[in-house]
Amino acid sequence: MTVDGIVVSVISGKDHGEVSILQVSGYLDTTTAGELENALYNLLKRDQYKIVVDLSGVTYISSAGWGIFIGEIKEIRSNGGDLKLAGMIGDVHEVFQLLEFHSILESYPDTKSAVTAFKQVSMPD
Amino acid sequence: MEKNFKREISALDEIFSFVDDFVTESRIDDAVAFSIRLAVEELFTNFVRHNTGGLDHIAISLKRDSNQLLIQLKDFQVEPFDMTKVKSVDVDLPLEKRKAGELGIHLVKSIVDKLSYEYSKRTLCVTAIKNLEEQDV
Repeated sequence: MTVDGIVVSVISGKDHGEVSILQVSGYLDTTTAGELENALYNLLKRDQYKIVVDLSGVTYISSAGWGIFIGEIKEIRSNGGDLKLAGMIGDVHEVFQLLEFHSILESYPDTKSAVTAFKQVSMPD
Repeated sequence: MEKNFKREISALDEIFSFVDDFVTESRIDDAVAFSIRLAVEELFTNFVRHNTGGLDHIAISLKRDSNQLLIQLKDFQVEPFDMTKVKSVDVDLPLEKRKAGELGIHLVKSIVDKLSYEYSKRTLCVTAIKNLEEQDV
């Protein structure tokens, strides 16, 4: 594995309703976590609180990356939204479980199922 | 393998390359390699952020014998600070009481088998040992 930095892009569209998808790829460590933090901050600034983070292209996450999810989740939920993680690879998911983040954050095998979960919550009875 | 790295977060890229070289030379399994990177990053960033005083470099040593990996970081001319005594994250705490900054050491303690601290002659040394299973190499 080589260090390849990080690429963060935002996908919003009709297909996803109010849900924004943060697509992240690369290496999420102390030096790159700031880029994810900025992207997340920009979404919150635009009152977009329903967020799916697509981690399928992320090969490594240290505590600096996990800390961002914890740091922002309170504000997101207090505004009626949520942050759901999608597509974690095996090694990353193992750390997610070690930290017992599954009690805090929902995770899904892919972005489609994460977006669907938002839609199911939004559906009227 | 042992090498000195600048006491700054930007040294991490060089540190990851150093870890990659060690992993390749030692023919270590990908999952264990992931743990080594994680432990080294968390320990190094903790040294940079919390150790006071110090020379301009931190020494990192990686060794492997038949069934163990040894990760050792040394910081010279610093005040004592025993990170191994830092209270682990309480994973049962409600969300509003959790602190993001406590995650690093909690992670290291979770992924290695032994974490020890020594302080002598103003040199602080933290050693992490990870036991290797037969399938890890």
